[in-house]
Amino acid sequence: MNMKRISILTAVGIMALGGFVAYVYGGEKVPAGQPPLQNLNALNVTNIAKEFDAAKDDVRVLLFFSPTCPVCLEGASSAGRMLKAFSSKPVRTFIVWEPVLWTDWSAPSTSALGRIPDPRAVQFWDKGRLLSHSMGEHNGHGIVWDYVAVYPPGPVWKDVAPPSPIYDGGPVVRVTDKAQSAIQKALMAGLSGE
Amino acid sequence: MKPNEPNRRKNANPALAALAAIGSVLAASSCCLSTLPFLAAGGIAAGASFLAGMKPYLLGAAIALLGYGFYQAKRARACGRKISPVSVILLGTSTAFVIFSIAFPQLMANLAADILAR
Repeated sequence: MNMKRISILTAVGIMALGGFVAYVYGGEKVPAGQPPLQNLNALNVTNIAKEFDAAKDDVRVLLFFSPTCPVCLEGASSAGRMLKAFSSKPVRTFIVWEPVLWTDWSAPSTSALGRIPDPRAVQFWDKGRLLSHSMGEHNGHGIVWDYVAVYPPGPVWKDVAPPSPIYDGGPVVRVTDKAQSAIQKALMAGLSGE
Repeated sequence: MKPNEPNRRKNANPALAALAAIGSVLAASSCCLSTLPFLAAGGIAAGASFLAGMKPYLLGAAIALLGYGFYQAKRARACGRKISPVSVILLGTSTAFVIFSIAFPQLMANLAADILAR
């Protein structure tokens, strides 16, 4: 077999895989019931704050992920399963996808977005990591990613950053149980009017 | 030709370079696989940031290794040596794999996440 054949085989392989990707992972479609993926920028970054505050009577969960980090994606699936347990409870989820790794050069794919199918969730693509910066990132240090924060009913967004959570932590896949307990507590606190 | 030259050429196998390229890509795409023992020892966060920083270099290494593999194949051909079908298949597969990994990192991450979840 010569170099020409190698080139042909390689080209065929790439085309086949590319077709597979386009078929299975094409687009940036969110799961049924969710609003379309919102691209955050300097002009509309307050949208997330508005949506967060609009749901102030509910328990709110804020999640941050990188779309090409396998552990983040595993965490997203884990969070999706956790949220299913609260499908009949007043819990709203805000998912922020952001570029952290070198390979995060595109918005999250349909496959990544589908990991949290909760119809009440809202998903964002924060290309400039504006929220991470507002929460303490500085010069590439302290990036907020693979992170979950739980907020009880009541508190609203403070200027540029979210209010203090009753629980936060990461990597998400490792702290899902703790986040679930925090959501449960926040729901109880909400019911008792604390 | 020196007496030891055939042995030296025999050791120059494009398949090894191709396999090494796949290894580099797997290491790069695994980014924060907690299953790796050294990452477990170092802690998830430290491992994630370490491999996240290494990712461009690992992908660069994969490309360089592939280039080396093609160079070896070309040199063997120029010397009139036949390249084994295994080497050809590995080189072609590795090339497709590396290009695919660079072009579609989200697919690689999704596959890795699904494997991790099992």
